[in-house]
Amino acid sequence: MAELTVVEAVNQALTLEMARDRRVVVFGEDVGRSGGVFRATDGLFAKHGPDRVIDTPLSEGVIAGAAIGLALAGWVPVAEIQFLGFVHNGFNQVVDQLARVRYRSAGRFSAQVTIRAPYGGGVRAPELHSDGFEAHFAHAPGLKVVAPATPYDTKGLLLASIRDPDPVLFLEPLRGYRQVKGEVPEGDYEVEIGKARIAREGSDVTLIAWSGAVQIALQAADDAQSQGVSVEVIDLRTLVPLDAATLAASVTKTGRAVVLQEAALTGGFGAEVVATIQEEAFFSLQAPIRRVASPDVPYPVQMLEEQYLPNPERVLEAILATTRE
Amino acid sequence: MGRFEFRLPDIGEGLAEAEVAKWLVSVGDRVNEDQPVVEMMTDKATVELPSPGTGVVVEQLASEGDVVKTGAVLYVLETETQIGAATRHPPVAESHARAAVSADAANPGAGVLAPPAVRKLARELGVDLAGVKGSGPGGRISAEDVQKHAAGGGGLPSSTQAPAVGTGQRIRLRGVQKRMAETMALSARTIPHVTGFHEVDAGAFADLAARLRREAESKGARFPFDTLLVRVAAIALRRHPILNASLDEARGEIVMHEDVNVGVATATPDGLIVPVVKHADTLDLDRLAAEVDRVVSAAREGKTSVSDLQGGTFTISNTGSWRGGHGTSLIRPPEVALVAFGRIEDKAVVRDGNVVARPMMPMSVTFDHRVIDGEAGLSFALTLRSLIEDPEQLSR
Amino acid sequence: MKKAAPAAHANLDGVASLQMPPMVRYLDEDGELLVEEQPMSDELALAGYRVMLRGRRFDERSVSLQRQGRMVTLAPGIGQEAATVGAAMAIDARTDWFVPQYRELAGQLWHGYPLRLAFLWHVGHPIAFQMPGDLKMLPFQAAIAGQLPQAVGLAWGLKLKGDPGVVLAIFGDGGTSQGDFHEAANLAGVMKAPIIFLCQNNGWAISTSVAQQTASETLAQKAVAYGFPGIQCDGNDMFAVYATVREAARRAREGQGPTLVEAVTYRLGLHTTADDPSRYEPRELHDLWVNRDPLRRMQLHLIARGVVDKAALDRIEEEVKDELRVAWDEAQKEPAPDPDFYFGQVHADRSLRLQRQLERFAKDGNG
Repeated sequence: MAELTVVEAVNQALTLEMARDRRVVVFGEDVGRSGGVFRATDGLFAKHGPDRVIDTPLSEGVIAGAAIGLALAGWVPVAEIQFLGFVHNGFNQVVDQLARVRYRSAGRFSAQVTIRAPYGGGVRAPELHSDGFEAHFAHAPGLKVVAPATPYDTKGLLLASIRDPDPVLFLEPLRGYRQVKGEVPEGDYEVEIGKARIAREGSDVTLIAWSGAVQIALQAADDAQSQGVSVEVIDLRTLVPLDAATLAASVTKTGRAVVLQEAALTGGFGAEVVATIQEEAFFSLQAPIRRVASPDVPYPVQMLEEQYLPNPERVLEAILATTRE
Repeated sequence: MGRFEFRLPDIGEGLAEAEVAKWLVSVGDRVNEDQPVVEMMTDKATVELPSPGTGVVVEQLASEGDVVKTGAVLYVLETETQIGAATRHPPVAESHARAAVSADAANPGAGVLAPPAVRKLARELGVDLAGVKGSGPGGRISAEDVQKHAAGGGGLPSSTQAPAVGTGQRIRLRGVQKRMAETMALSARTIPHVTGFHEVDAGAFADLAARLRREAESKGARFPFDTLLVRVAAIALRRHPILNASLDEARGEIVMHEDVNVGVATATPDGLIVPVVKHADTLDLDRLAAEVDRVVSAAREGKTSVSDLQGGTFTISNTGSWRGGHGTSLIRPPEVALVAFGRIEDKAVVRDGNVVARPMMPMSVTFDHRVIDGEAGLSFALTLRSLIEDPEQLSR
Repeated sequence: MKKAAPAAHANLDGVASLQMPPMVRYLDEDGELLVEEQPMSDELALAGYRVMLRGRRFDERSVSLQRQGRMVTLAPGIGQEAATVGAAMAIDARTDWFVPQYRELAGQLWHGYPLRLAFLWHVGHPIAFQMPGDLKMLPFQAAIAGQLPQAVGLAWGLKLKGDPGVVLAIFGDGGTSQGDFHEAANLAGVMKAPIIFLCQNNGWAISTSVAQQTASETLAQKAVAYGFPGIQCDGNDMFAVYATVREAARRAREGQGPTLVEAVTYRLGLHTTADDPSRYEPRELHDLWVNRDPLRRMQLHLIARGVVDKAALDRIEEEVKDELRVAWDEAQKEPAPDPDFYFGQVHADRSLRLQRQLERFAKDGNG
């Protein structure tokens, strides 16, 4: 098995699926000749040409909207939004249109569409390139939201997403694109959408994270171990539909939970995780559930980024605090 | 094919009311389907409302300039054609009823500091957390504290625990039953009750009830027996407002209620609940019957909404249907009185010097002696009695 | 080679004005042919008239039912029947797609959308959005111009497949102010997508007049910036709309890409049943357009041609009335949708989470 980065895993999944399924078309800004600003689509244009790997105008609304039409015409579109922060130009098309194709048509039409977008901070990118906007989309019934953390899951979940008969927003961890490496099988495999992963087993506190924050969670869990606290880390992998069963089983065991979210605190997806835990495992709770998140401040420019984002120290603090309660 | 009540539809988007701008036809006019009948003015637009069918306008329930609520009857059409249903609106009030009724009245162990897992443990072990001394910060109770307490190893004796622990089946108080227990305990603990017993000749009253029921049934409606009892109480309360009052103990004040809202004690499989018939003194008999039927049926089906449980100013309890006789009752605080009726049975009574059999109904009037003295209580009972024995004044 | 000139010396006057083709017209306001030949047979013209009438009477009936509380808020297309029916007649329902906004019902009826479902649409039944069988039509769209990016994607996808179909996408004057319109037009131009953008310029976006909507002289000219033709036609003239859209469809089918057709028409009815145009619409303007009524015009034309007489027109009225009654009766028999139906349309497979919500929803009547 080869050791790949996350972005290489994305590329491998796209390469594999384009060869396997002639209906798959990849399009977006700079995905063709240049191979994508992160090279996620590198080599696809050379293999499949301008009819299946298409550079589009700089126009997120019509990228998302045209994906619906292409799906209706029988294609399997995989659209790239260069950075999630810019998807809001096409918010109507993603949330009000794409997510509702099946529902609006009472089942007559569906949109087998995957929208890929790198997101998350920590790579010193310009404004609006780093924001954690996942909650905006988790609140749109009809849209699945997938947010893997590892190269293995990225490949397996991207293949599952492209093959899913419904629209999937596939969030790729920008921070993990090149920093996170892992073993990835060469061939075809899927990771099931809607299933969380126990990234590390533990018995005292459950720590929940997703996407780029999983690395921080694992670091904090290591630090806690050295202080005698055993932390179970859950990597959600899919935000919608949320794997409530895995959350409940873990918190029932540990009785304590900390939710780590890279995005700003208020209205974040972490709040949904907290609410789900209290619905599913309330009477196992020994202490209030804690959240570690960024402050309710717009994502800052580079000099402030490190202070702004949750780091292992802040997560450790929350873990230790919850064990004292 | 019959009367069609045209109700003001929501012709805007979320319209609450509209003003009658102009009637385009008069009472007695014949209208065709789709023919404009009335012009309504809303804050969004002035629109003509066409007739849903062909027929004669027999009644207009609002005048030009009147503001009419959405859903209220605007006019009545004697129709010749079948008229289809209006668009459905979700029954908002009903949908929340079940949850509201079964919600616990009070939070056990409120004020106690204990995490959810410890509360669950306490419940399983039958430990009242109020009696457990917490060893954690700020007196927080841990699982260990609960276990020690259960084992008799620590803490204070719980004041509300049963003095002796039986070995039979244990049924936890919950929901309606729990609420009943709390209300009744409060009543017995705080209110000095006085009860007067009366025998009332209910012959004419029973005849009237039977007649009204037949009339209602011929129109496809229902007329519960309790309707007349509610009416009797409502009229008597109007004449004796001190019984339609509450005691605000905290402020040391008697609150005289403007509305007469009569609660009807209703046995349900879950326990006693008392849904309230609002404005029992002002509804006409048809509407009163419908309202009594609605609240009592909902209660029996466990569908009572919160609003139907609130606002009571007086309570009636009719045990006639299960052969109740005389009995004392507990007042529902903060109300100050209630009346209970038993089963009507033929009894030997003296009339004009002769012993005759008359259908007699036991009636017990109970009042809070802090607020109502014996004379006021008796006077109220006599009014009830006269209304029952001379019931024609009720049907007006 | 052009000579370069410094900006300060450039003459900017008149640059904003474009040379556009004249408005396409076939019939004058009294139904007289302005050209030698009408663009379709008399039989087809009569069939078109019948569908326009069906749309008109449906809208009138719906407004009445709404006022009786039997229908939800709805947007009638009264006055615009020629624009939508003429356009629908110019494409082929077997291969071509009809992508509506929400004021195109008459044209949709021509394309094959059943009258029964139209009634169900106005009572708020989700089945109306299903588009029965393999009818090539997308559901009604409430987001103004929101359908256009999808329509372009659909057209582009058909072209990539070598499918002969073209897409007729309809929207209004207000829609031309939306980013979705501009993004869609731009991509359609780049991809040479086989699409006809039919803009029904009906004078109003609720209460906003076209003059307040844009400083462009015409809406058709917006196409020029995106590299494809734009043309105005008389939107109350079924022949003019038909001929113009037919030409645009031919171009699309032959690989020449998109066309923007501006059908100049007028909203004779309400924006929706929650609207009161008397607050903003000049009475004289309304009256002017009443005289340009597309149905009246076609009636006069058909009579003058000897295709129908007064008695035949009356008979058609009666037949349409019967059709409406039958369809409304049928619509009322449609069972109400249950939660299982609409929970089932969120995803192909129902997540455990959604299934549990459904169970709770069905039990308690709330989520």
